[in-house]
Amino acid sequence: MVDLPAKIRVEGLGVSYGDKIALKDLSLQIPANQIFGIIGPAQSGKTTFLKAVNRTIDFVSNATVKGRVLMDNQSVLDASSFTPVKKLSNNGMRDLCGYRRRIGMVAPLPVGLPMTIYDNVTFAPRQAGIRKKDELDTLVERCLTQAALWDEVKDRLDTLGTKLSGGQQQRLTIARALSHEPEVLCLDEFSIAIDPVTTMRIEDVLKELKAEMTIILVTNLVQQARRLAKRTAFILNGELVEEDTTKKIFSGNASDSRTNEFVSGIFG
Amino acid sequence: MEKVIEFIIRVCGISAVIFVFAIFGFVFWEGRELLISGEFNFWKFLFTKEWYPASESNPRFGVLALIAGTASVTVLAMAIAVPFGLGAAIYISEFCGSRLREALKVIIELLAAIPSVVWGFIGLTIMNELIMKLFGAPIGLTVLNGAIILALMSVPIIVSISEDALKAVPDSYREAAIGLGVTRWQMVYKVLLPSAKNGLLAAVLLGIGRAVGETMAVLMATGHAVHIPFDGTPPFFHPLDSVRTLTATIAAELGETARGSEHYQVLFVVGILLFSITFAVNLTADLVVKGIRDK
Repeated sequence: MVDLPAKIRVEGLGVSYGDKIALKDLSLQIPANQIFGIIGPAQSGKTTFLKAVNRTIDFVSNATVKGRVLMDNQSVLDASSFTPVKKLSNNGMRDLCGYRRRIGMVAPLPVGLPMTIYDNVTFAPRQAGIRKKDELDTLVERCLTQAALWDEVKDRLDTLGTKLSGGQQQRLTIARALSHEPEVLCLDEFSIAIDPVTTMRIEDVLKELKAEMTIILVTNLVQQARRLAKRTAFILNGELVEEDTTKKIFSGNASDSRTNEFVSGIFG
Repeated sequence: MEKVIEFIIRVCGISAVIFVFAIFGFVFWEGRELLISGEFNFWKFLFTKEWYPASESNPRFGVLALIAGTASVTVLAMAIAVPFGLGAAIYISEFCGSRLREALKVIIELLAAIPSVVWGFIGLTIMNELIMKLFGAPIGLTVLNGAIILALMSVPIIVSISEDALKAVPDSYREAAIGLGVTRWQMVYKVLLPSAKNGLLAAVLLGIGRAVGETMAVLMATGHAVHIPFDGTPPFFHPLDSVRTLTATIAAELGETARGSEHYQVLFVVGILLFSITFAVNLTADLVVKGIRDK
C-alpha cells in the first residue's frame, strides 16, 4: 500500500480530555518525504493528533493517552492503557525537547513570539546550543528564504515579530518551525488567518520542502489537501474514517460514503 | 425608582474620588500654617537629618534620616520579596499541579490577611531574638528585621499580581515555544517573562507602595531610632542599625503633640510627603498596567 517507508507510524492512538474523548483508537502510517493530508470538520481531533505526535500533549494537564507512536521505527509514545500525561514515559529519550526539535509545528493562528524577527528564528537553535553569530546568520537567511519571507524582512530583522502582518507572521512561524531542521513539519490549518495569495505562496514552498522532510498538513479546506497531499486521511469525531491516496479520497467513490459526502461539501 | 438607584450608585462611585481629594485636602489644611509661614524651608526639611521636633529652645525638622529609614527598609524588603514573590508566581502559574495551585493561592492570600500589628509582634519578639542570636547584634530591632517583616507582608501582593500577569500571556506562546523543543524553564525565561514584564513591574511597584505605607509593623520592628543606616565606610549600608520611618514617626508622635502646634503641623507635612510618594508609586503602577492593556 505505502510506497515509501513510514516516517511516522501511529497504532491505536486514543486521547481523552477528562471525560471527553478526542481521539478513538486511531492507526495511521505517514510515509516519508510526502505531504500527508488530514481532513475533517472542526472538533474532529486533528489538532489533538498533532499534539500527540510531537508530545506537546504532555502539557495538557487533564489529558490521558493510550496507544503507540513511532518515528523511524523508534517508539516515542507508548501506553497500553489510558495513561495521564504526567505518567507517560519518555521512552528512553533523555528528554522530550530533543524529540520535539525533530518536528516543526505551525499553529492555526500565527504566533510571533514577542521578540525580534531574528530572535524568533534563532530562538530554538540558540536554546539547543548554537551560539556562533555567522552560523545563526546563515540559518536565519535560509529559514526565512524557505518560508518566502526573506525579501520582505531582510532589512528589518531587528523589529519585533509581533509587528508583522498576519500573513507575514505565519510565514515567520513557518521559518521558526524550520529553524531546528525538523524531519517532520506539521501544519495545523496554517492558512486560516492569511490571505489566498500568501496561502498559494506557502503551498508552493511546501511542495519544494517535501523533498527534504515529511509534511503533515492538517486542514479543513478540503481543496487544499487535494492540491497538495499525496495521501489523505479523513477524521470524524475522533475516529479515522479512512485513509487512502488523495486521488481515491476525492474521486467521489471512496470506500466510506461519509468521505464522499464530506469532500463534496454535503456536511462539515 | 430607577433614577434613585442610579443616583445612589453614582454617589458610591464618585465617593472614592471625593475621599481621596478630601484626605489630601485635610492633610494639607492641617499643615498649611507651617507651609505658608516664611520660617519653613522645604529644602532644609528634606535634606537635613536633625529631627528634634519637640525641642523647646531650637526645634529642628529635618526628615532626611526618616526618608533614609523608609528607603532602606523598603529597598531591602523588596530585595527579599521580589525574588521570592516572582519565583512563587512562576511556580504557581507554570510548574505546579492544579490542586497544589489552589492550595498555595489560598495560603498566600491568608498571609495577606494577617493584621500588621501581629507582624509587628513577630518582629518585636521572634525576629528580634533571632537576629541578636544569628548576627550577634546588640539589638535585633533593625532595618533587617523590618525588611523581613515587610517582605513577608508584600509577597502576597507581588505573587497574586504577577500570577495574573503570567496567566494573561496567551497559551499560544507557551505552545509555540514548547513545540520548538525548548525546556519549560527556557520557555519561562525567554518568552513568558518578557511578555509579562509590564504586569510583573506593576506587581513590584504595588509591593513597594505597600512597604512604603506600612506603619505598625515597621514601628515595632525597626527600633525607632532616628538614624541614617548609610555611611562612608564599607559596606556603606548597615542593615543591623536601627532606623525610624516616615510612617512610624507620624504614628508615634502625633498623639503627643498639641493640636495646631508647629510639631503637629510638621507631622502633617510629613504626611503630605508620604502621600506624594505612595501616590507616585501607585500612579506609575497604574500607567504600567494600562500599558499592557493597550498593547
